[in-house]
Amino acid sequence: MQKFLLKGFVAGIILLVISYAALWILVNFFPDMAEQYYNPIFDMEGDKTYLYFLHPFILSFALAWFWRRFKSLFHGPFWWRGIEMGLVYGLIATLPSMWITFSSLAVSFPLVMTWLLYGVFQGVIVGIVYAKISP
Amino acid sequence: MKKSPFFLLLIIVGILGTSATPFAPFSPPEKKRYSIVKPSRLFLKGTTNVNKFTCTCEDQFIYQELEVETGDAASRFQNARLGMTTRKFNCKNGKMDRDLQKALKAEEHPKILIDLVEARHSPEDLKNPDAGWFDVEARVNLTITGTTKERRIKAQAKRISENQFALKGSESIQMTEFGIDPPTAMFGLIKVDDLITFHFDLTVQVDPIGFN
Repeated sequence: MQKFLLKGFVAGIILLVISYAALWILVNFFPDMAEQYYNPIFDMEGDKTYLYFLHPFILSFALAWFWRRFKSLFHGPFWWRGIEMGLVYGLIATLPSMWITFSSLAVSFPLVMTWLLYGVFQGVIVGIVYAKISP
Repeated sequence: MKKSPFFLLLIIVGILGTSATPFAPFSPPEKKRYSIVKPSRLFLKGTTNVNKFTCTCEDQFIYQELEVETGDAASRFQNARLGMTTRKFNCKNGKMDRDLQKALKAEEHPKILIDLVEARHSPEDLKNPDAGWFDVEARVNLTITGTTKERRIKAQAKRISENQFALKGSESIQMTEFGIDPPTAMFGLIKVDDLITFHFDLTVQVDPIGFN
């Protein structure tokens, strides 16, 4: 259990750094895309701010369980196993949720695509981390 | 950039007060009433590190009264206060409206106040109805979020009719000078720049209402 928590925490820290870096890249290199966040449907300044910064840990612990349960299904070098897990996560979790997001919220297709790609990227990063530290 | 625009309405009033009065060192105080009429436009423009924004002032300025002492090239004012409702700025973006109102502390300070103290202008321009656009300069006290600063504002004015003037120009202020924290978004990664510019293109109706 202690190892499980440690792995989840390590992966969560990595995702947290990446998530903030991704926002920074978005604002500084894709300002038109960042402008779309200036929309009433986003509430990133209020009391719920801390929840955003907890999301990497929600994901890392969820995928820690997933990896422990299904890692035997992934084969090959660690980086390939990580990529494969990220793609599986993207297909099972991110794609459907982004689909329903696009169909029901007033957000642009390019913005939803960035979320889809970012979700897959997160899955790949966590997959590589787990494949390396918990083969 | 240390000025705001709304007092410029009051400049017009000063000009009109002068135009209706013989030129003397300073005339006795005269009461007038003024209103901003169509097709006036008043808006502010600002920038963030990702975009630009425009917020239009949709406040209605009904007739208000003031006292003016008119001199050769200047007019002095009393009770020449214009209050603009902070919540009447429409940025066509609900989040931006909310952030602007929050930055301007709309709950605590519902009005931006402009007190016109003095307006300077060329007497020749005022005498000549065909003068076209001419320069005016006003000394005002501008109060935003409870902080008052004196400003000297330059603008252009034109006499449209006996009791109507046009006034146009733009002025900028630094929000931090008035104790305003520029709004931020996306965990502070998107920042509104400190400098905002007010643009005005106003038509002002002025009528005398009596004499002291």
